[in-house]
Amino acid sequence: MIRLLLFSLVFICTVASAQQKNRPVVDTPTLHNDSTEIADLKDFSTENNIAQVSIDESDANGASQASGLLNTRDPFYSASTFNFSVARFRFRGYSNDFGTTYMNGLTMETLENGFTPYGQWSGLNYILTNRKISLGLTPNSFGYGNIGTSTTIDTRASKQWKQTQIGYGFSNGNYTNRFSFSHSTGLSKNGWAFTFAGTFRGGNEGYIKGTYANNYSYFVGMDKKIGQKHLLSLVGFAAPSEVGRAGSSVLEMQQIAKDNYYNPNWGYQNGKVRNAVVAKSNQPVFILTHEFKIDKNSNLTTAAGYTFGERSQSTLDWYNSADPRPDYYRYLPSYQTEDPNLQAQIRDALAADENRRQINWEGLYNGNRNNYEVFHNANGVAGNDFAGYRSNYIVAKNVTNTKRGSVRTVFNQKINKHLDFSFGLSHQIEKNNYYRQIGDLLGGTYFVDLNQFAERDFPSNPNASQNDMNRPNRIVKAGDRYSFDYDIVINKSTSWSQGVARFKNIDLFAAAEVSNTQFWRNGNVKSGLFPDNSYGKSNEYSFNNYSIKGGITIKLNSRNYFYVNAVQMTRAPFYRNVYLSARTRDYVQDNLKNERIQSIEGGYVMTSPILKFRLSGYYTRTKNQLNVITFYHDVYRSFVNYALNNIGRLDFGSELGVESRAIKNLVISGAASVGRHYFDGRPEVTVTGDNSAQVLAKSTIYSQNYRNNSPQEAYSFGLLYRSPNYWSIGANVNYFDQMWLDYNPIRRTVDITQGLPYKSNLWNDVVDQQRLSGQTTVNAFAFYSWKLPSSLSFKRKTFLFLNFNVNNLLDNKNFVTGGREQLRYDNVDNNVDKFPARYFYAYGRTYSVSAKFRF
Amino acid sequence: MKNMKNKSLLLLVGMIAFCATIIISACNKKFDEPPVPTTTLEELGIKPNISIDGLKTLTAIGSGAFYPVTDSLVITGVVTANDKSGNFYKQIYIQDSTGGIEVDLENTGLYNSFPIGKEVAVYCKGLYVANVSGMQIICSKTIQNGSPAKIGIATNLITNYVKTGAMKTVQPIVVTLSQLVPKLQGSLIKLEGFEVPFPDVLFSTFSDSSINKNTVNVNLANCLGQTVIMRTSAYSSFAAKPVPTGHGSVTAIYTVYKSSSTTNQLIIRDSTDLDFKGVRCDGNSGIVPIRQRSIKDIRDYSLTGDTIPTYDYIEGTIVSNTANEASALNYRIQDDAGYGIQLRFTSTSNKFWSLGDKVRVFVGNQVVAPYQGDLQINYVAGAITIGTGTVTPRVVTIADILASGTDWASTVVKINNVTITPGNVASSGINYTISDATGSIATYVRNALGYTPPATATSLTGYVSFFYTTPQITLRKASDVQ
Repeated sequence: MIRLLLFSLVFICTVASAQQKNRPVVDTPTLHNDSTEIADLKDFSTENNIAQVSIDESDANGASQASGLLNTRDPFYSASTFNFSVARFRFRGYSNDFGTTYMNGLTMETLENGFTPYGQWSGLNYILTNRKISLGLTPNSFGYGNIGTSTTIDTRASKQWKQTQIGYGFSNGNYTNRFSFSHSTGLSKNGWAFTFAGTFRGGNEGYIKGTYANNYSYFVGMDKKIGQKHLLSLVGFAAPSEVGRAGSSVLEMQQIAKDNYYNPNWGYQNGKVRNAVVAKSNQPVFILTHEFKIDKNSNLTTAAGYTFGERSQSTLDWYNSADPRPDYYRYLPSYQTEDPNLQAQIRDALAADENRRQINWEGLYNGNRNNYEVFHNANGVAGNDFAGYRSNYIVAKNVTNTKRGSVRTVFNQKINKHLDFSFGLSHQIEKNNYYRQIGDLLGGTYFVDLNQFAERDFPSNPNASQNDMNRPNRIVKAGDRYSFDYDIVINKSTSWSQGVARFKNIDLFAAAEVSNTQFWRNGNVKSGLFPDNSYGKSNEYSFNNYSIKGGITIKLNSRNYFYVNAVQMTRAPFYRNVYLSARTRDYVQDNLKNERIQSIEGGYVMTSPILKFRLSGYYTRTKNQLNVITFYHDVYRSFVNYALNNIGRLDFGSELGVESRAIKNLVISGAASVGRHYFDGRPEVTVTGDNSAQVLAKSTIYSQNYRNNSPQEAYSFGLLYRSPNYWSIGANVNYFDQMWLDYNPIRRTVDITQGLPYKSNLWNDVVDQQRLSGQTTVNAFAFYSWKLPSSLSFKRKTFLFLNFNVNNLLDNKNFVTGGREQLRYDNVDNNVDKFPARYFYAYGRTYSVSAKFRF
Repeated sequence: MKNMKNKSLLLLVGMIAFCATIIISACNKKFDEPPVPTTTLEELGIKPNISIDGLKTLTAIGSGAFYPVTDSLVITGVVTANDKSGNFYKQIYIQDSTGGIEVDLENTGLYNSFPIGKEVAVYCKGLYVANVSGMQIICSKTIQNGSPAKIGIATNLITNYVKTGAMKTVQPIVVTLSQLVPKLQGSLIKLEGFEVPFPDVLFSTFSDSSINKNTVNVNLANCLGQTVIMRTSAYSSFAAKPVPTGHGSVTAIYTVYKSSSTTNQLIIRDSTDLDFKGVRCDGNSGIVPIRQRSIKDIRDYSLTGDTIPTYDYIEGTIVSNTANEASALNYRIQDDAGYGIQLRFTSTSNKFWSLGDKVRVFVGNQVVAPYQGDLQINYVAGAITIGTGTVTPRVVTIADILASGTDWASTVVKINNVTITPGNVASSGINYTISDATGSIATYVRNALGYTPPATATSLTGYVSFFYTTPQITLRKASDVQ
């Protein structure tokens, strides 16, 4: 009976806390959908300000399996994954598209940007425990891999432990409550296996005011073993989520608000907090996998998958009205540059009233409801009047609707006791529909699909202001699409093969991959600015690529290894760096070419029961990258597209990982990453107006040896005491240094510097990259597992796990983890403080408590 | 066994509760909409302690100066004009029974908070009343380039000084021209019996629709011939609209521009403030009897020296580029019949056309006369852009041009296989001699064009101009020489 009581207690807590009004939380301060910085939009999914170590990860500890030499158990990797993430540390400084993830045999990353869409299975940690990660260029049997990390996850039902898990967690970080559940049947006698899982994470306001999260996930898996040789698996899962995001802001507002976590994205509406920037996602995934064990030495795995659905982020949009964002630069004290008296008045007004620092929803509603207007020639019909309250302020949603299908097959053959051979083929098709939609008319009754910037710039061209000449003057309401609407279709075919030879003292491998990537744009609206280049299908762009890699491992003995691996490859550019402004037209950059990447790594590894040690180095050079950024230019007084080409990167450094168990019950671990992550060479930039095809300027960006934003140095030292009585307690100290702010390339052009006295203070202010101060964090955790006595147990052995984590124990709230100079720049007065940098801060002290039953 | 059942039951209940929790919390409740404010200033307990006219009298000060309001003065009124159409910028006008005044607020989109008819109270203490060229304006003061300067009330301070109430109706004060007295400055007034006089009515738009964005004055006149200026910003949404052609009332904010003398200026809130639907003073019901003439017909007026009839106009495509002209006011146009003419605009009627623009030019009451050999209409008062046109060049030899007389003047020709030899260098450009198998002709390339022709070309395009009796070619752009 006691066990029933115990279970009920947890259950009641669960339900009780769920009944708390679900209010916001979030992890990732965002971007403004700043109309001055459209470029932000394209990165909103990647802007991980504060990658908190969540309860999720702590549950997943120790479940990974080894693969190759550099793997999940690598002491450096363990430390860097959990302890370095707060500083937005990236493995070897690589961008996210240098990582590859396979699930049940299928390639998971998007063709849009090469990122792994972790959000699609976010929260499903209970069924993600069969994970293999190989670092760097190490070969693996599941795929050619990538330059950075290669991960394979096996979520097939028959590969899950036969067990039920029910968990609850409570935190003051990203989520308030977390409920998890999973149940796996294991493989039955007639060859069936099933897995079900679900989670909810969210509730209440997040660590940053105005933020919230309501994230769900569910998973269904079904396996059928047919004979001894065939295993057929089907999984379906999704993670519908809604997150009210935090926005970065400028130092001035953070100081006035006396809060480094000042979030301009929200405001009170009828006394309740409403966030304007809400990210939603629901993109279910289905994967069908067939594994064919041809004989004991050969294996053929074939998978087909499909994913579809929307992800969106809302933003305020406005027409012929003042900027509604509370931290717009003209509203701040610093805008009154010459009048300290006026500055003080405004500062006092902002400091005294929180409402002035936040969105004035009521004002937006009143504005719309004041604006009764008869709109003439509505919907393009001459003489057609449409009367109503025309909304000037709306909540808009930028939506990406994705459809992605892929098939992949991998053949593994053990040729003899020394030689393994792998071969694979894959094909992916992705169609993304990007559009903007009316989310909320905020009290008005209609909105008109017009481009107000074109209206202003081309007053005598009545077509210019039409976002869609096929449907001019269109009256739009909540749920309708407006503004831009286009598809990008991307196809990629890949084939690879690999041979691995293993001998007593030496291992060798060689692998090669060839691929073809194709993409095009298909416009669904005919822009009045670009009638001939916006509607319909663009040219197709096709890129052929190759990659070869190889390596050698010398085994001094069973515990000491030396290795060196190298790769030479080319890679197709991502479409978003090719189209100058895909939202409005199909123009592309000149001189499209493949990226070239060369990388070499090597090191020493020692593994013994009492000491694990790895010291390695890497040197990676990337050439010919492209980028396109769009922002408001103060001299051209218009939005411009800066198309950068010939971007190079140079990443080199060393990694050290140590884990000692020399002292009984005590694990001492250390990790260090000391690298330099440079931009290499001088990109060329072509400037075009967003509203016209005209090339405004060509220029060179002097950014040689500027740093990218991953901490170049990160150190971790940890102690873990493992009691024989099933509890453990530990702590770690981490230090980060050589962190640099993202720089604005525009400021590093002759156009800007020619007007400045060479090497003057002003010149340095404009040109120098800002270094952020070194920071320390301390984390602590405790763990207890209890095998319940049989009187308290369910049918099977029942365990109760308790977990307690504290991150940033010292409550360091001044940890700037990154940020960026605004792209908008005061080229008129070269006042770097007019559009100052925006910063992200790591959370202060957060804790999480979780309990889990497993039986 | 029973225990087992209990547990399964509990597990089931737990599972259902879990799902229910998820479903319940997944329901997104709609945000409550804030109520529409309908409380009047009076209900809010806000009462004026001085009239608008009283405030203006109290704060009267010389032009360019600021009167600091240090007493707790409160005025109330209703909004009579705002920035909705863009003809006002960062300013609203409010009015009570004694008069109206401009209030400057340092933001755009003010019409959202201050729609016409909105009750407004201004707490003047801490603000200034500035005299800007004769107009009194409630504003804030800042420093620009070291000197005191007018600025609107900062966005974040507006609610400290300005309160709003309910919506009221607004009636303009109906006056005659002679009744526009200083007391009415800043008020919404209405004048009856006005129209845009001839010939301006033919080609005037409310404001400048070119990239120059100049503010434009349009004269309004009554049937007695009395006029008043309507002044309109090029940033207004109706800047490019042609003015209405009828006759009727004008509703506008009455302002003045005072320097050595005082000029009345009416500023309308939107194009609909001109209610010109009636019959014009000349009896035409809003339709002016204009007549299109060919350029050939108009050129022929030079033979007699007669004045072109009042209502005549020509249409053609601009075939010149002002960068290679003696003056930015000079244009050449060519019509579909293949005739051209030189036009010299007044500086106020010049709309900075580009090569290829198609224009309708009102040439009534003008004469056509040779200027240094080319037929020209000088002081062209008005034209409107009607689109873009294309002109196919005549393909000719140089001998053809020399033999053509003046018929091809100001029309585009193309000569194949030429050599181009530089000649005299002048301060504004360089002379070149163009030769083909049949002869030679001169061209003058102005420095402003920023182009140096090559020594040879397979084709050369330009229009025929005259220097007294000598035909020349004038280039327009680099691609004229291939």
